[in-house]
Amino acid sequence: MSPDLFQAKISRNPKVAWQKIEDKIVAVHPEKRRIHIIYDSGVSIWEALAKPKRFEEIVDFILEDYEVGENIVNKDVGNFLKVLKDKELISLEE
Amino acid sequence: MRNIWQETKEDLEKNYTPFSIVLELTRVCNLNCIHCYNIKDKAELSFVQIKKIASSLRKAGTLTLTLTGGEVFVIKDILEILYFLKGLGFDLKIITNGTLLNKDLIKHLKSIYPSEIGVSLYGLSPLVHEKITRVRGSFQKTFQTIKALKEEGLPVHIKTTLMKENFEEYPKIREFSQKLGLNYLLDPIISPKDDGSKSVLKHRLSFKKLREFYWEEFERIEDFEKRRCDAGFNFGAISAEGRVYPCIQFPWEVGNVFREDFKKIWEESEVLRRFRERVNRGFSQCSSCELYSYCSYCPGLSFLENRNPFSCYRLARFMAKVYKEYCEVRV
Repeated sequence: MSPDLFQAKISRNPKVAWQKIEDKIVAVHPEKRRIHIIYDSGVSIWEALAKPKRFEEIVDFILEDYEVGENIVNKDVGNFLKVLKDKELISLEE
Repeated sequence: MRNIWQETKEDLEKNYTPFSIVLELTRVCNLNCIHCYNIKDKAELSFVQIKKIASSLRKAGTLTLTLTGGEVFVIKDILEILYFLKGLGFDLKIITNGTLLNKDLIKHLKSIYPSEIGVSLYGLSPLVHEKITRVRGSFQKTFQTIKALKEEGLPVHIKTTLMKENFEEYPKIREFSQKLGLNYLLDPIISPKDDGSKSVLKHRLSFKKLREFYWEEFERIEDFEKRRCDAGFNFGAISAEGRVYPCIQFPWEVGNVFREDFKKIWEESEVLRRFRERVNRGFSQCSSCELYSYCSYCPGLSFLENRNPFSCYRLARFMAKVYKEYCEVRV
């Protein structure tokens, strides 16, 4: 069973290639041959993952930049990370 | 609804972002191919130089980095280099002759996961392949590497330059690649050497064979369309001496990364600015040509043939004629 998103150390999948173009992230999964575009606050989350982080560290990172309530950030970051996990753009470690 | 990837691509095109770059890591090679366009010297980028270039490419917007040689696996630190480049986020492609890969290297390649590993294969027998590589035993090694990469699920791309010495092999190579489910490229163009020498052109296919090959290809590729080459726009190359070119087969120096930052060269080079302007404007000598709409003119070949990237060259005219004939017969 894969580790729980809210407990795990989260990092970018090292196989995924990416580049910041203007205000978007273009991410390529070479094994799945898929291109994904990340934009808006997703870019900040991707940038936060320059080093592996736990869920709450990512939330703190976002709270520094956005004037939004913690509950909303928790929910949005959780949903976004679930999408990244499903697309195998991130890896989770205990 | 607009497609967001389409919009991103349009941004890249508008800004001339160097999205895809070929980096020639070394000119050292363990083979001695009869048609090689490289100048035989020992030029090689050091790891320190590669790090500096890579950092500048990231800032300039490069995503795809194609590593070529010479032969990249002759480099002592190649694994460290690959891990480093992948760690920066590059989409890596590697071009190799496949003779120096072993189980351990392939295991590492699986972790690095390049999006393409192009392996040069000239024939399906030692006799044909080694007539071109001029190294005994090279066929067996290359062939084993292709099978091993395939077994590991890595994206192998067979690359075959067609010439007089191996023309009869191409249907077999195509069948072999299709059977293994591999991508393949059959390229019938031998270009002059980077120093302008035309000594290798004696291996070029005759016009008769080229016609035969292209007719078959046109039949197979239904969506053949004329489009602008990206060289100097979203595509570029850096040689093992740091020279920046619009394409690795278009050795027209627009700057040198040992003297200036790559991003600055790409954005500010006067030579590149004039080249883009000229291409965007269109060539007046082409607009009245009856072959214009059939022509897949390559500025690199034009430069290598005539030392002028904007000239009409014999091979382009011939290929356009063949395509015109084909289109007329099809109608």
